[in-house]
Amino acid sequence: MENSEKNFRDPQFKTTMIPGPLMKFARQCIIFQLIGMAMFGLRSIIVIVTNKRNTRQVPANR
Amino acid sequence: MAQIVIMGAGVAGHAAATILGDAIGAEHKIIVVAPNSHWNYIPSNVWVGTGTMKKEEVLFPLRPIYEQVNVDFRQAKAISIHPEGKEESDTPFITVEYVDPDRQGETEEIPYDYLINATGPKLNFAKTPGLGDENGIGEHTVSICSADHATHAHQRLDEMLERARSTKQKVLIGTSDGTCTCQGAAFEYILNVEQKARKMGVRDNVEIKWISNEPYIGDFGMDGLHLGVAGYAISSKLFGESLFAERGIHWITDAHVSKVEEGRLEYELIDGTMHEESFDFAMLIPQFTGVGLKAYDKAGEEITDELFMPNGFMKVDADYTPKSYEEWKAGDWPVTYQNPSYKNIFAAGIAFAPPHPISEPRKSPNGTPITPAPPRTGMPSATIAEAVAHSIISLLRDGESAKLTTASMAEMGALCVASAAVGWKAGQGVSFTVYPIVKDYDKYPGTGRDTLRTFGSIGLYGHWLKTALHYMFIYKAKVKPGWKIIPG
Repeated sequence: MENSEKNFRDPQFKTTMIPGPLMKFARQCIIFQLIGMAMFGLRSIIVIVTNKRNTRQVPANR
Repeated sequence: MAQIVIMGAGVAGHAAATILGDAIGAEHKIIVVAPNSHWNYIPSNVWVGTGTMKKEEVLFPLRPIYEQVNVDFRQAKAISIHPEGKEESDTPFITVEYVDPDRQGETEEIPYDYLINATGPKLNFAKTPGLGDENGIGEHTVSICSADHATHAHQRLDEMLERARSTKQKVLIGTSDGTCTCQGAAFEYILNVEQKARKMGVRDNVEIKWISNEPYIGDFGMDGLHLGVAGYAISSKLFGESLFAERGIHWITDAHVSKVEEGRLEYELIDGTMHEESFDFAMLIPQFTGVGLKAYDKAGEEITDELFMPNGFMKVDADYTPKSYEEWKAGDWPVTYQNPSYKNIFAAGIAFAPPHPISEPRKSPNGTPITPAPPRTGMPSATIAEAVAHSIISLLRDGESAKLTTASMAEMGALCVASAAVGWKAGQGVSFTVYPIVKDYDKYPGTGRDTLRTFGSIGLYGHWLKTALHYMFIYKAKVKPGWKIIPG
């Protein structure tokens, strides 16, 4: 059992998620992370574009 | 020629100054008044606080940048606003006191046609007894709110970690007052401190504990969020708690730190019970308030209440009518950041007064408010400043047909990258997008946000991104070629 998993015996940690070996590998795998970064980049662009689209011009003399 | 005065040169003030200077600096006079001679890329202070970066890497002098974009920089502290002028003149002005070594202590009246209040917060260490006083942080704890604070935090952290080689040590990181904001910075710091303790081989001797005013880890003053992860909408509570559990970090939430002494602090929980914790090293974010600007009318009578809310933040076009949590609407939030009484005054960044928190307001049975204040730093701060700058450009160029640019936090998304560990191969970061920042249950009845555009993950690329953002935003802030195409 890995040290991080021993932590889950602690009552405060009982209801949390435990990352499995695959997730731990994926978090630090350069290829997987490059793909993750590209996906995050795409979503970021969507948010930035949404912000631009939501910007309105309202008359100053309302 | 009009005169535009910007109070403050942080994220919002600097963004507004560079946009205005670049667009209209040749035709109009742009003046920036700020007490600091250097710009600080605050998101990287967390790395200064652990020694990953040096103070010099997060700071650069403002004056040479402003000379490039026709902005007049005055190193001074704004004291008061006189929006109606004075008896002998109708021209509005602000009073400032110089902190520039060449003019130290001199006062000056600076007239304006348009004023942007981007002063940021006052770090109110005095609110928590023992945390500090009116002059700043005290000797019992550290802070990473400024580059100097972070440098000091790094020294104290290294001393504690050296002691941990031979004796058990206890670390407390989080927020102090029950109304604090900026939990994200403390969240990053605790994870980086944990990694540093592991790297030094002393983790078993260091007990690390989180203490915050949030109802749960991951509230972040935004009433929490649901992140789209692996096909699920996972709550930030589960996400945050799991990360802490994996790192062996315990937590205390719903806490208002009421007193700090050497090596111990007292806190009240939302149920009204009082507790105490000991520590060998503590980093606690102070309460943020307005910087304490005063306002006066033409006759010299104080009208501070007309311009500012009691917490010192400036009133803008928000709906400040007191309402219950259930009645809060996205429409309560400001869109143009124009002061309702004086239309030539705007506020941007932390300086504007939010209509209410985003998180549910709570009080202990003793009447102590324990509610995180809404975050207005980083991306929203720069986006608001950009909108205000474009509004002023239109007011100057288009006269009667001028249009104001909107930037409501209820219609705005944000990107956030929180460092969880450093290193090109061992690093980790939590990267997430949130849309909109202020929940809108009318549009998104489920979680209050669009779960397709509220997405998060943790991994090595978060560290790469955080590093890339550091260099990219400093590049932009230095107005180097192509700076305008980098989003704020």
